[in-house]
Amino acid sequence: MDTTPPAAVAAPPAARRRTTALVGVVCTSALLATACGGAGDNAKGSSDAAKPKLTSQLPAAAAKDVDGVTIALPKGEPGSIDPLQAIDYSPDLVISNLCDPILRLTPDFDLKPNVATSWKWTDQKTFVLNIRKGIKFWDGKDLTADDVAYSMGRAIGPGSLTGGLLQTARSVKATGRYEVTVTFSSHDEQFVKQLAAPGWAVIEKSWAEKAGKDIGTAKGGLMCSGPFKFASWKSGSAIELDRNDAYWNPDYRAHAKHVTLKFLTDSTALSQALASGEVDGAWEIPPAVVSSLKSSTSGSLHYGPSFQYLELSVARPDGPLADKNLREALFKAVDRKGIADVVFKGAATANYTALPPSSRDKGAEDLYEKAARQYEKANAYDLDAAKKLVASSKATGERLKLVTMAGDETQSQVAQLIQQQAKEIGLTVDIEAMQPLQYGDAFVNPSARKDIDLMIAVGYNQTTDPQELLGFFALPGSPYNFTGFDDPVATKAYTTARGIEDPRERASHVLTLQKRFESSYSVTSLVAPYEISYFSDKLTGATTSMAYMFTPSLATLGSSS
Amino acid sequence: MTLTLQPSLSRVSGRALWWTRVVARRLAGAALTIGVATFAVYAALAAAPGDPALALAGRHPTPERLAQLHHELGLDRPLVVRYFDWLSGLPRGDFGQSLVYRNSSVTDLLGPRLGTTVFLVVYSALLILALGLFLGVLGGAFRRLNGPVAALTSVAIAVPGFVAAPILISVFALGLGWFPAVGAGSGFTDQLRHMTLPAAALAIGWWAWLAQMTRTSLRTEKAREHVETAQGRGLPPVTVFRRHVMRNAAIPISTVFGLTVAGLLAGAAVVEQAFGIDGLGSLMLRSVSAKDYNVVLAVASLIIVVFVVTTQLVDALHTVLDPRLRTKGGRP
Repeated sequence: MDTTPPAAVAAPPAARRRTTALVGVVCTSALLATACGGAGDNAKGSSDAAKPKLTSQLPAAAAKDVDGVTIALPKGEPGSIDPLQAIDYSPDLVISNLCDPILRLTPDFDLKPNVATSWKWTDQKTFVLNIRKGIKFWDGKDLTADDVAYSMGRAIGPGSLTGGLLQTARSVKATGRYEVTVTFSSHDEQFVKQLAAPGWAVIEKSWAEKAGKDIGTAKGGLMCSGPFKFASWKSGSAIELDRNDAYWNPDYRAHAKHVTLKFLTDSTALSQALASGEVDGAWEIPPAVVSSLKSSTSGSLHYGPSFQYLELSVARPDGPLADKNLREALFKAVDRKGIADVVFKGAATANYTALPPSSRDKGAEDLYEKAARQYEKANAYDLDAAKKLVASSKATGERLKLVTMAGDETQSQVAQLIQQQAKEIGLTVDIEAMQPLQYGDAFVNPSARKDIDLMIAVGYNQTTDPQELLGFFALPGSPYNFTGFDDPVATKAYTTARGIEDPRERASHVLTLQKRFESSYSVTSLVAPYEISYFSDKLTGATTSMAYMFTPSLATLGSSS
Repeated sequence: MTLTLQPSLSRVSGRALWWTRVVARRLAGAALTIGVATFAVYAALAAAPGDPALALAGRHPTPERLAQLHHELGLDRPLVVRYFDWLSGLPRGDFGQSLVYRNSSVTDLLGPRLGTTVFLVVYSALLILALGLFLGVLGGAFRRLNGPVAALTSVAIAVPGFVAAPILISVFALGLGWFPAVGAGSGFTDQLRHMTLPAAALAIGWWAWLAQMTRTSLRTEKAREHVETAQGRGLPPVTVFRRHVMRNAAIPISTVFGLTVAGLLAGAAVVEQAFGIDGLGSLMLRSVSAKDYNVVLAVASLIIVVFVVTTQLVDALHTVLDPRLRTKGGRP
């Protein structure tokens, strides 16, 4: 479900990531530093030994052709596989394997050509893309600028789920058989980064116009140009894909002739299906079934880098937490490392700012990491300091209501740890698990939050750009600005940053914004969980980082023998 | 009805009228039950917190986008109007559109799942019938087996499906590898293999109940005067058992079995979820939590219809089994 809050993501990809490259990525991406061993001040010894080794991909070069592979979709059946619905794990994974996005992100979070071979801003408000020749849709028709302009037009059109981040894009036109021009009301440096997300996948215009409302449904399917073809969608049971033997990109020519994507939402059923070998693999394995899968002999568990984060938000501008000292006390009273070790069994890293490590801008990671270290110090687990802050507030035994999503074991455990730690500084926290829709309502509806003080949420980044999240949290009137944060300096920094292409220059403005926002103690990300996946030992080539959602991750899967 | 008709013909037409009345009354009753029950389901769903449009509005929905979706989906209209809208589609076989599965008609969603659930329920009902009757008759007919059967059934009756499912899976699927652990299978034999464990998990409490009922009814009937008389007249025990004991005991047994079948459909949800089966039950669970009105209503009405029809069938069966019920009906 997409009631997850602020977050969305899409990041990187990684198909052929070598282990060495991956270690590099992990180390640069910040707080993950502990996983690399001996990286500075985080190394507190004992628990580091328990940290799982992170891998981004199982040896892909060794993958051989195989007749069929059965994979469980991350969160069950998608509501639709129209790229416009690419807002969640399952649809993203399916679309990424069926369709070509306009650009592709590399394991190092660089943008690489895909459907567009080159792109540039010809002025501050005009963006031009050159389209690759020779790409064919499954039905044999050529992919041209018309199809790209049509698909992009849908994505920025009204009612688009992807377009929410792109308020300044005005129009998309095919200005040649292989050229597309986008015009803007004001410059937006984030635009290019969005183009690698599955929401920008190209579908065939003439097919789509005929299909109408059936685009992306079980009945209508899709018409794309990706490494797999849509074969069938048995409602409630599975989506079937066939290999596209005419795929243009040899790097992603699929090994499996046929892929069955099963819908299994029950975590026990999922672990049984994996252990018995009826399903060959799955991503987003719930931490709750990790121990039962560890003992399985049919396959192995893998941990990889992820763009997810688990955050704690102050849910309303009034109530006991209107007192900033109390918010600060709470942020200091939560043992984030404890959550990573206990709840995630080591498969997560503690984080101390509203920005997760995966949001850092390419080319300025060092600047963001330096800032992150400061917040790590400022928000470090410190009960004494927290108690002093509580004493200096006017708090007199008020109760705080903390909300989680019902059925999410991880959130519930985190909530209990927070409750326990808050108690140590004299704050009483009541936990309420809300049904998904009710919980989702609390994110968008101030009236549904009127008696809620705190919310826990899991989200992920859509782009490797810190402004994405800050835009949701820190601007007056933005959707997840629950505390009513309104700081003209911060708002100006945001607007200025969005118009700057150079990442280092942009960072100086973003860091100003981050500093102002952090001092309001409104939102904090507690941990950045790793990607947990499981694959049969008969297979190799699996992408084991969260990039599986945004790359043709099923194409690289093949037989290991 | 009319005097000019031949006596025999008049009897036939009288009987037809009587049956028409009975059927009409029953149909009206059934329709009313279904109407009241579906409206209750609709209203309860509407009263539950949460906005179904949220699931469709994307990751960062704006209030404007939500309002627009409410309008598109008709969620901004009064509850009663929406309900009657849904109702008016029924005669055309139109159950409306799903909210969650965008642009999919409820009929398209129900179609493939209906077969799966019917397979599961029928398979389970056959297991219940076979095992329940067999053990019940053993316990009821042979005094020495009464104790063991009573003990076995009281244990089994207390085991819910969600407890039986993981045990069956770990023993027969993961341990012995005899059956698959998840899924519904395709094609008859494959489906049979896939559905054996789920059907067993679903059947477990019910067969025990049926066995218990059969055993006690048989024992009650056996102790009745006319049975003792029949035995005294020297009729062979098998004849006595079949003609006097079994026939009378069949009424409570068939009632229990009828309720069982209807209950299976509702109980399938838990078992389907546990075995990862794409049936009506798991669809229902998902749709309730997403407030997917039309899907919930369609599945709920199906369950209600099955309940109503089964009760009617059991009633009809009773009239066949017990001639007194027929004559009391006031045949002309």
